[in-house]
Amino acid sequence: MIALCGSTATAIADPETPASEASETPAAPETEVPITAADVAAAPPPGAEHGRLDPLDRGDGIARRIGRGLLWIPRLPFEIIAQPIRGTLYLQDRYDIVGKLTGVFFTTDRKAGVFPTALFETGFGLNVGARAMFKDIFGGQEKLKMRVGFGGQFQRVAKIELDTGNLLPGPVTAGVEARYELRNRDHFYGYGNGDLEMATLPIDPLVDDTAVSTRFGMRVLRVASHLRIELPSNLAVTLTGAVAKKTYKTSDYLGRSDTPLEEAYDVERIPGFRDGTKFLYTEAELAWGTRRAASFYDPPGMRGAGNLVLVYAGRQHGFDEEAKFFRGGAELQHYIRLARGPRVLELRAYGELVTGSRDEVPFTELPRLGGRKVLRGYEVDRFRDRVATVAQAAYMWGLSYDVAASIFVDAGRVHSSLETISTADLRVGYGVALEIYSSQGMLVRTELASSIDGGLFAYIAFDPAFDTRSRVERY
Amino acid sequence: MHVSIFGSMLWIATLAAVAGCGSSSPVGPVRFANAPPVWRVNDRLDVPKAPKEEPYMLRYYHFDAYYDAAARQLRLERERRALGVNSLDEVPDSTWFTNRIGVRALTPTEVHRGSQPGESPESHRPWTIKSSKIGGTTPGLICEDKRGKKFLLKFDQRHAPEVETSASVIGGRLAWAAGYNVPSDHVVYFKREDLVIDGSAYVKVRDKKVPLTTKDVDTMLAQAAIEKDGTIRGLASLYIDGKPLGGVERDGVRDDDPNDKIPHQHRRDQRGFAAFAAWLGHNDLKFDNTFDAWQEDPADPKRHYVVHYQMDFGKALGGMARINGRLSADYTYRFDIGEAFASLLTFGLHRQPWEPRVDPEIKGIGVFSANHYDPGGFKPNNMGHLPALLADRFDYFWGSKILIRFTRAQIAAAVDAGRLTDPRAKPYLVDTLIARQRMTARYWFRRVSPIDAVAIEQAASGGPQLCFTDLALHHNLETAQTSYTIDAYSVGGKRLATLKSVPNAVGRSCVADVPVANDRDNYTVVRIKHSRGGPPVMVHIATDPATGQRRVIGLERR
Repeated sequence: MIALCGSTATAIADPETPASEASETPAAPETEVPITAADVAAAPPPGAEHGRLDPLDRGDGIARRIGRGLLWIPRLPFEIIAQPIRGTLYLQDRYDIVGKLTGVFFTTDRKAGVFPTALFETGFGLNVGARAMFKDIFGGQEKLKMRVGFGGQFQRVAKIELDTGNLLPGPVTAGVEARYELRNRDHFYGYGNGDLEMATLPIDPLVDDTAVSTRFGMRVLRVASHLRIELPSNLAVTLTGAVAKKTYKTSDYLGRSDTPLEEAYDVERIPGFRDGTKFLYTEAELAWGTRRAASFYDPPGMRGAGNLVLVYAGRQHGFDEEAKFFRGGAELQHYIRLARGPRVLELRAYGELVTGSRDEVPFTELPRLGGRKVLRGYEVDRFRDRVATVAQAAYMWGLSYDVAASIFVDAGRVHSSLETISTADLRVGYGVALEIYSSQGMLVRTELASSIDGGLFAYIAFDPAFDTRSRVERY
Repeated sequence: MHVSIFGSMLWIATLAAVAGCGSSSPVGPVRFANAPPVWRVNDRLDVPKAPKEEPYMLRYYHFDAYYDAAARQLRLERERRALGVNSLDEVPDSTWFTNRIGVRALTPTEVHRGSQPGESPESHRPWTIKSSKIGGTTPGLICEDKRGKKFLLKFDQRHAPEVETSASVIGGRLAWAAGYNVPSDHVVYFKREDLVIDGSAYVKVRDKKVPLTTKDVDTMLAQAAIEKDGTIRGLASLYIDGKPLGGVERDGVRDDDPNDKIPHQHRRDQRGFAAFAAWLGHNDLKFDNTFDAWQEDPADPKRHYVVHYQMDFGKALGGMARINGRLSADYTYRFDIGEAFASLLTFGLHRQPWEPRVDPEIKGIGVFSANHYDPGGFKPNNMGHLPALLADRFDYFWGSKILIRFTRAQIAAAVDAGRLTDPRAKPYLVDTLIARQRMTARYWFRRVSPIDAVAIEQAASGGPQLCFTDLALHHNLETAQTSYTIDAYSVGGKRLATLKSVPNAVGRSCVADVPVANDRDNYTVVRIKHSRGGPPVMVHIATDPATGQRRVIGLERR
């Protein structure tokens, strides 16, 4: 308590200055004398300083006790859910279990490691396997990654990938990848934008757009390489080359609403299905990208401004008299920050085409829509044809610093040729998403999507929705 | 004396019980012993064995914040008034808090020097690097100066030069002057060649000690803001004496510290710190920014006890926003369930309270201003710091009473210790701190009666008079013409008289002829209300049996 005193008024020159300030600051030593145990030997212990005679705490009233008893009902499931999480976090923080486990699989400097993986993919099942990783061995942030896996989308998958990081001079990076995949659960819904129906007779997909949910198997062998050159003014050129061999088979896996492929479609009329395909693919891509967080005060990785303009042209050169055709495409993205928060409007238009005809382009090489990236709210690869166009819009708003929600709508369709492009019979998907960011960028994105055709899809992703995979990765 | 007090206690307790049972008496059940207030507690009993060190469990701590918040609701926990206060609702000196500003003379020079005057390592170079900093998110080095004093050397981030180092020092100086124990932090300038790597210096990589190399140090310095002439600005935080025990647990007590008797979440000094934190925008309140040390007694090296510290003010003064880009700091929790739901349900139409914030764009200054500052809306960065979460208006009031005592000269002295180089920075920061100081105090003085410094004094006529100070007027926070209604009651609740008074020019008011109740020790309860509206303060007065003089034995704020 301040020893304020005096009834004499002091002139107040500055309204922030206590009127009696001048009289309350007597001269004193400028070094504090520390309190010692001897100084307080006669003082009461903590908790006895209050000087109160009445009880400090009168306890809970009867109503509160009854309420507390009743709240045991919701509290029990709450505790059942929360306590294991608490326990796990406690053990992790106390004993660094993840760190210790990581130490088993990685070298001390984390530059090399071999570790098991397990991944559950909705609609595909569980994939287990192992990965090996070597990075920064030569001090250039280069990476060598290897992966083997079994189950899920792939019956078997083996992949080796080398990225040069900063090893090459200047703004040049390069990568080489070799991949073997044995897949058994890919979707085929025929060609075009037909509605889903049950199969009656095998359909000729080249002339009949009726869609039936079927699956097929595929063996893929591919070696690909790329060279990326960062140019001034946010431009980048990527040159890609790949050699691939794909063979197909009917799938022995059937989902709940699937029909065996051979019952639904005349497989002889599915280009490439019988004989597979072998080809060389070369592509040049030019991109101008300025996508970024709109402000320092938005989470890193939360795009709120800028554009992406991306065009590419590729040539697929089929071996052994197989089809030769061009693939081309363009993508536009634009981000408009509407307000702080941030509140952002995200716009994207994407189009892709192949020049080959329906009956010569292997069916897996056609542009496709549906899935987590393009035309959300529909099954993966729900629509395929020579031309695919889609427009996407999302409104994203921050819930807290590193959590954002968004609502989105995707509209698009496939077309049999450029001449038939129209906005009639658009397929429209829509949904909501929740995004969590870390200081490094997007941590995780969960989406719930549906469409005007029904269905409900949940996605979990670790990259922004508008990040497109390269053609080599997709086809 | 003991018999007398015990007798009084028994008698008054009986009366209190009667009065408290269904009585609607304005006096209420609170009763005080007829004794002077306690200004020091003895929490310096010898603790011969060092208590165990508490590690910071980051993920568990953050998850538990939300778990605790939900669990408290489901447990229907009562709000509880803070403990650790004396009969005048003040905090006695302890190992947690020492009454300084406004209680003893504290010159601007002393505020500028801080907790350990003359200790800056700057004039004791070169420094020997012993290891890299462990824990936390910003880079740092553990060094030893020429005197052998060990300190932690931290740096400003390149995009926010001078912000963190100045905030650490300024916040620390003000916290120390307010009464808290803080480490001795100093802004230091040095050159790269002042750093010498010790032969045994190491950096910890995943629990393994790896020799610290020149490259490691240069990599760390590459992230720091460095002047054009190569001068490096840093924060030297001297090691706290004694054995480190980790942070202060947010609730409960240390089981192995017999002096730790009051649950931390109910300590007034910890809860009241929230007002101070709001004033400074010190949102980084967490276990990791508190510190317990098992120390020797200054006079008796054989005796040890635990001393409690507040530390790391680097994200205060708008630093969290300026350094980490989190504009919502001070206004929302890191993940604020209420705000998030409001935004979610309105598709972002809900305007969050931090959105109008503006960066003053002055070198060394964070996103810190008095515009849009809401003293009642301050929220720490995470929900884990229970004392701040449980702080009520009485705790904020207590904290506000302390922070409003800082004069411009004292604040300027603390800011000066931050060694800001932009000529606009110091005046801006001093003005902003004063504006926020006054907003904070005004806000809480309107929610708890600012009647304080209540005492029985001798009137000019020779008789006793009841005097008190209206802090809102004393600090020129209110301009409304004010008068006071003073009702005197017996402990049984019988009104003895109603008196009126007005304040003088410094907000002090005295009334003579306050009636004396005929109860034991003439125990009288006086209710003081001011005319500006708001809750009253109840002053408990009794006759000192030893001197026969009337004295204030308790103060109850409502």
